[in-house]
Amino acid sequence: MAVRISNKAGQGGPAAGPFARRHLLNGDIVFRLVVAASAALTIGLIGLMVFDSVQAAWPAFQTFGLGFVTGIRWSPSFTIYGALPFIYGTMLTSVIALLLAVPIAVLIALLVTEFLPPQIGRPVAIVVDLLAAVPSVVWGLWGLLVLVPFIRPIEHGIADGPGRLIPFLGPPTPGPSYFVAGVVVAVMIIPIVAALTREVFATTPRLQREAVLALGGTRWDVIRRVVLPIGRTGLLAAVLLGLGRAIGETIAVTMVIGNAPKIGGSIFSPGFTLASVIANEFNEATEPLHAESLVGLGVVLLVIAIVINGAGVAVRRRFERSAGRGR
Amino acid sequence: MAAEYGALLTPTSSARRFKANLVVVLAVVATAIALVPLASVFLFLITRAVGVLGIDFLLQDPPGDLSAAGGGIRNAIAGTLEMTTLATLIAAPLGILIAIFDTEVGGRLATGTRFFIDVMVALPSIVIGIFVYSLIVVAQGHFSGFAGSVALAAIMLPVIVVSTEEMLRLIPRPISEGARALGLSRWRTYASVFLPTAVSGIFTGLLLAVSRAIGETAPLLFTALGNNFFSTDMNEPMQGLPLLIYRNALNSAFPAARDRAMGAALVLVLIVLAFNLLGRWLVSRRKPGRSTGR
Amino acid sequence: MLNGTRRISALAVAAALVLSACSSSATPSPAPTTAPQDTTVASAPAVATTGAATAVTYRCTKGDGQLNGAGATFPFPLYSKWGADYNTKCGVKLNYQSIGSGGGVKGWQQNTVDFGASDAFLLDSEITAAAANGVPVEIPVAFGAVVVAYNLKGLSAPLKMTADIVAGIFDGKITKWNDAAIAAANAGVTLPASDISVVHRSDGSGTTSIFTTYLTKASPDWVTTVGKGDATKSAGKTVEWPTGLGASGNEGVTQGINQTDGGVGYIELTYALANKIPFADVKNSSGAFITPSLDSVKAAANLPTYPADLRFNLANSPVADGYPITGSTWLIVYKDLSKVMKSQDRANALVDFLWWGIHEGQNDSAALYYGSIPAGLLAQDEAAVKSITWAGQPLLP
Repeated sequence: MAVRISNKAGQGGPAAGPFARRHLLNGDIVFRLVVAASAALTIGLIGLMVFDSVQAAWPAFQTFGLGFVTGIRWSPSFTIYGALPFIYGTMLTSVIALLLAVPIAVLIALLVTEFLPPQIGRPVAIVVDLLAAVPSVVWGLWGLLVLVPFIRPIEHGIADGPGRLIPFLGPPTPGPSYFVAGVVVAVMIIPIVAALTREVFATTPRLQREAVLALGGTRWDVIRRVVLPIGRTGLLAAVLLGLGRAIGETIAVTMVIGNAPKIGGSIFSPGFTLASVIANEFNEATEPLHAESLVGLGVVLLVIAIVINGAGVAVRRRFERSAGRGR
Repeated sequence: MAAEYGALLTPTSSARRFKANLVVVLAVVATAIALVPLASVFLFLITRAVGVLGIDFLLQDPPGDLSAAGGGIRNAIAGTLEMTTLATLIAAPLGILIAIFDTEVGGRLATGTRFFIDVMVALPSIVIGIFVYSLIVVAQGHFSGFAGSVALAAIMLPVIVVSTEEMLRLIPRPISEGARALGLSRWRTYASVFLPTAVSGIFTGLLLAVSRAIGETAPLLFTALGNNFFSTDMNEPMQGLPLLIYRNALNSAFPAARDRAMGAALVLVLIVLAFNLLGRWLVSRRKPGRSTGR
Repeated sequence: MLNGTRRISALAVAAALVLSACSSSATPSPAPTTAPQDTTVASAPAVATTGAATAVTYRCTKGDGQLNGAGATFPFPLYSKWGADYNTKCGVKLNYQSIGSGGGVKGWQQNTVDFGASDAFLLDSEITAAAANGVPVEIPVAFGAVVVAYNLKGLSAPLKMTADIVAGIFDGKITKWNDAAIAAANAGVTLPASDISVVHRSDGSGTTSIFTTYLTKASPDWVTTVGKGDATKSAGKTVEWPTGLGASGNEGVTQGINQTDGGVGYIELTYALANKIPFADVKNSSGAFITPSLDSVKAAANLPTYPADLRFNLANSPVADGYPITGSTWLIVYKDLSKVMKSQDRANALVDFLWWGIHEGQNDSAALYYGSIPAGLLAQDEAAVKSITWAGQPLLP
C-alpha cells in the first residue's frame, strides 16, 4: 500500500526534508480534535444517560430514603416500593449460578489446558464457547419448556429430603423459582468463566509445570501446586466477571423465575431479580412513583454491576500484569 | 516449600495416581454436563421448529391475523438486519475513534477510558434499554426502529472499542516509527497505515459485536416495541427476531404464532452461531497459536 | 407434538362450525384458529352492515398506511383478526402489540402509540397524569369472560366455585384441592389431595382488574386480606398477591397453569378453550352457578344504561344468567388528536378504524367468544368516536 508523504504543512523552511521531525502537522490538530471530541461525546452521552436516570429516579430515593434499598415490600397497588426482594433475588440466583458454574468451568478449563492435546482441546473449547452464542430469550424458552419439567423430580427429591429439615430447601415446588433461574444462568455463564479460566491456566509458566513433572509429580500435582496457585488471581477475576454477567441476565431469568415480588422462603419459591422486574413492569408503570422506582432499581443494578465488573476488570488487570512479569 | 516438593520425590502411590485420574474423570464429566444443555436446546428448537421451516418461512411476512397458520418471519429478519446495520453504522466509527483516542493519548486518561469501556462491556442490557427509552422514545414521542438501533449500538460499542484497541496495540513499533520518520501526519498514519493493517481485526471485532447485538431482547423491549408487519421505516416500531420470540413463543392460544416464533428462535440461533463462528475463524487465522506462556 | 397441533387445529375448525350453529355451550370446545367470517350467533344484536335500515359507510383513510396500538392481551385474538380484516378492507396495517393493559395505558399516556387498549378503564389519576396531552376518549369494543382455569386430571365436570372459594384460593387461605369449602360446593365429586398452585399476572393487567373487581365486590374476605381493608387496593391492574407465581400475559398464565399439576389461574375464555383447559362454573349474585360462555357474557354485558363517560364495571353482574366475572375492553385515544398526532391524515385513519371496529369489526367477535357491543351501547360508542376532534373539528362527519 503506497504511503504518500504529505507536504501540506510545509511551504519550505525547516520542515523541508523528509527526515526532519515536524512538530504538529495541520491535519494532526484536526485529527486530535475529532478523536478527542468523539471520545468525549460518547462518554459524555453515556454519562448523560446515567445522570438522567439518577435524576429520574430521584423522587423514589427521596420518598423512601435508604428504605428504598432495604424495604422488603414492593407493592404498586399500595405505592410502596422497596428493592430488597429484588436485590435478594439477584444475589440468590447469582450465587446458585456461581456454585454450579464455577466448578464446572474450572474443570472444563483444566480438561482443555491440562489433559487434552491441543488438537482435541481447541475444538472442545470452541464447542463449550458455543453455549454463549445462544441468545438469552432462547435459553429462557428452553428453561421454561424443557428444564422446569425435567428438574421437577430433582426439586421434589431435595424438598422432600433435606428440605424437611432445612426450610430454605423445602417445598413447595411450583416450578419456576430462584433455583431454576440459577441453573439457567449457570448454563449461560459457564462459557464465559471457562474461557477466561482457560486463558488464565494457559499462561502458567512451562518451567514450573515441568519442574513438578520432573520431580515425579502427577498431573494433579501440577494443577494443585502450580496451575491453581499461580492462576488464583486470574480465577478470581473470571469468577467476578461471571458474577457480573449473572446479575445482569434479564430475559432468560424473567421467563423462569416465577415473578413474585417478595423474598421467597426457599430456593424453590418464585421470586424476582432487579433486571427481570424492570423488564416485567417498566412497560406499564403508569403511576409516576412506580416508574421512578423502577428506574431507581436500574440505578441500583447499575451500581452493583459497576462494582462487581469493576472489581473483575481490576483483578484481571493485576493478574495480567503479574503474569506478564513472569514468575 | 522444599518439604512439600520432597513429597513428590516418593514413588507415585496408587492413591495419588487415583486422585490424578479422578480429576480427569471429573473434568470429562463436567464438560459433558456443560454440553448437555447445548445439545438439548438444539434438539428442542429443531423438534419445535421443523414444521414451519422452509424457504417461504424466511421470505414471507406473518399473516395479518396472527392466529392463522402459514406466513413467515421476513419482517423480523429484516427488522433485525436493519436495526443491527444502523447500530453498526453508529457504533463502529465511534468505537474506532475511541480506540484511537486511547492509543494516542496514553497515560491515565487512556487507562481510565479503557477501564470505563471494559466495565461497559458487561453492563446489563436492560439498563441500557431504559436509558434509551427516556432519552429517545419519550422525546420523540413514539417507539421506533431508530431507538432500538441506538440501544443496540450502545451494546456493541464497548466490544468494538476493545477489539479495535487490541488490534492497534498489536501493530509493530517499527511501522509506527517508520511512518513518523517519513513525516506522515498522525491522521494520515491512521488512515493509510494503521487502520488498513488492523482492518481484518476490526472487522472481526465488528462481527463479534454484531453477533452479540442480534440476540439481545431487553434493549428492544422499550425501544422498538415490535411490529407485526414488514417495515423499512426507522421512525415506526420495528420487529426483531428476539422480540418476536419473546412475545409469541409461549402463546399456546395461537399455535400458529407460537410455531412461527419457535422457527424464528432456530433461525436466530443459527444466525448468531454463524457470525460467532465466522468471527472466531478469522481470529484464529490472524493469530496462529495463542500465547501459551510468557 | 406438531402432529397433535395439526389435529387440534382441524378439530378446532370443525368445532367452530358446529358451535356457531348452536348457542348452548355447556361443554368447552377448542377455539378456532381460523374463524369463519361473518358468524352471527342467534342471540347477537344485529350489526348495521348486514343490510339494516341505516347502512354504515367506511371512509377508509389510509393515513401513513399503518396504525400502532399496544395493550391488553385479553382481546388480542380479536384485534389480531381485526388486523387482517381491516387490512383487507382498507389497506391499513394494524400493528397491535399485546403487552398488557398497563402497557396500553402507559403507551397512551406517553403518546408512544396511536391507541391504547385496556380491560380496565382509566383511573382518575391516570387521566390527570396525561392532562398535558389531552383528555381521553374510551370506547368499549368487546366483552369477554375471565375464567378460573385449573389443571386437574380426572374430573368429569367443571368444578363449581363460589366467590369465597375463588377468593380463598387466590389469597392463599385454601391450599389443597380437597379443601372442605370446595368439597361443599361440589358434592359427589372426588377431589384430589394435591396442593393448589396459584398462577397470577405479573404485569399490569386488565384481566387482573376484571378478576379482582369481581372478588372485591363479591368477597369481603378478599378486601380484608389483599386490600388490607381498602377496596381500592384489592382491585386493579396490579394487586399485592399473597401467594402464587406471576406470569406475563394471558399466554404466560395459561402456560403456568398447564405445566403444574394442581395449577389454577385466571385467564380469558378464548385462551382456556384454545388450550382445552377446564374452567369453573362460578356462582353469581343471583345464586346460580354460571358457565362462562358467549351467552352468559352477553347477558352480563347488557346493562340497562351505560354511564356517559363509558367507564363501567360488569363484575358480579346482578343479571340472572350473567357470568359474574365478565369484563369489557376499551380502546383509548385522545379526544383532540391535533395535539398528539403528526398529521390529520393519520388521525382520520385512526378514527376510521375505530368506526369500523365498532361496526363491521363486531362480526368477528362471536367466533372468538367475545360479546359484541349490545344494541343499547352502540349509540354511545358511535357518539364517542364522533367526538374525536382535530383542533376542535370532529374528524368524522
